[in-house]
Amino acid sequence: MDPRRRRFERLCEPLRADLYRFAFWLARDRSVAEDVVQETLLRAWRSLEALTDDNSAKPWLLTIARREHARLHERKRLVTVDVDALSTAEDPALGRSDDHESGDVRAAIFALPDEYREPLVLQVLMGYSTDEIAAHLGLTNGAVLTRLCRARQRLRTVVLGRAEEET
Amino acid sequence: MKCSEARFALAADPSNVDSTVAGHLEACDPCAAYARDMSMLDDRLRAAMSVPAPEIMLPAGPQVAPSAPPRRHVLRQFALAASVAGVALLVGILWIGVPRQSLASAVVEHMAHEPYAWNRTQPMSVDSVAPVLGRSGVKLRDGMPGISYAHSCWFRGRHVPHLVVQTPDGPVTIMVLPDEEIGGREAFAEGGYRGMLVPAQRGSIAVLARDASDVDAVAGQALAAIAYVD
Repeated sequence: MDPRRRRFERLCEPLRADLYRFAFWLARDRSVAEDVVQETLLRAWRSLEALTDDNSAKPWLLTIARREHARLHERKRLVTVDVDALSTAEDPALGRSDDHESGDVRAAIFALPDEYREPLVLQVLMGYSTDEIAAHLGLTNGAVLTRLCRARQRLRTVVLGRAEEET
Repeated sequence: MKCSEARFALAADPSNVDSTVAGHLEACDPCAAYARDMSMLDDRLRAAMSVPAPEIMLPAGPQVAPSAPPRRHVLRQFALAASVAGVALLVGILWIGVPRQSLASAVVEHMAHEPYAWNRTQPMSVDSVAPVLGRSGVKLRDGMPGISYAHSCWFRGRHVPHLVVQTPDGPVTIMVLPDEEIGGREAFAEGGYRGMLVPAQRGSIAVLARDASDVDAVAGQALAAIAYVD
């Protein structure tokens, strides 16, 4: 195997599942997420030389995925989805239809506005610090903290049934 | 610190509680309950967000560099790679003695539910690790350097501490299992992880790595660092 290929596999292979999950929560659609991941990997393969620091492979891939999702969204003019229909339609396909609790939580996450959902996924699932999220989204750290706070406040109300709070 | 400030910090990043917030929580029961809510909420968010990822294969190689190949061609190559990976996985599963490693298998399976745990690299303060350990009757004698993730996880019917420490060779996971007695040290390799189960003062400790990290050394550090509270 040629060194370029070996490097690509070493960097991308461990990140494929994370990449898919990130794309899934951006798109809220499995098939769109798969398209985003395929396009992301192809673009990453073509521009591998642009990645000068192997330790930055993950943010590099997630940034490409974010752009690919936006590009796909623009190209296909993806329709706005009904989150209620979406959660019930997605769950059986996720293989967790017996897990009602996760299904309910997923529906609550689906229903979050994009600007709240994306930083939350980056933090909870991708392990990003708030500084890293701010850099990724081009926001101030304060704006990220506010979005994360509001996202969790909404979810606390919906998922745990607590009274809503204002921050 | 005001309650509203503490709650803002907790809702924005419940896994990274600084000493000011931790101090407030000790004195304020409603905010401590709020912190527990946020911790519980994050557990459920992580579980819900960790959707199964399908086998999406890497691009086939240099032939795709100049221009994108027809999608069917890519999918065919991907399917072939998936078949090879499946056979390799099956051989691996058959090779490993399943009964002997049931605890190891459970630990490895748990890793799949918390992939984000490996991603945290920023060191955590002792103050933010202590509540996680305390929930399972565990504490650190003199601290342990390099802890980047600490969470109380539901594992085989109990809450157990799940830690990740950063080593020069990469992150290593430690699960403290006070209720899991084992007969002796067990090394295992499963699901892409190398690991070690070691008997501890109470139960056992599991140590796992995805790479060449020295799990033996980390197990030794963990055994020396962890104390059990009556």
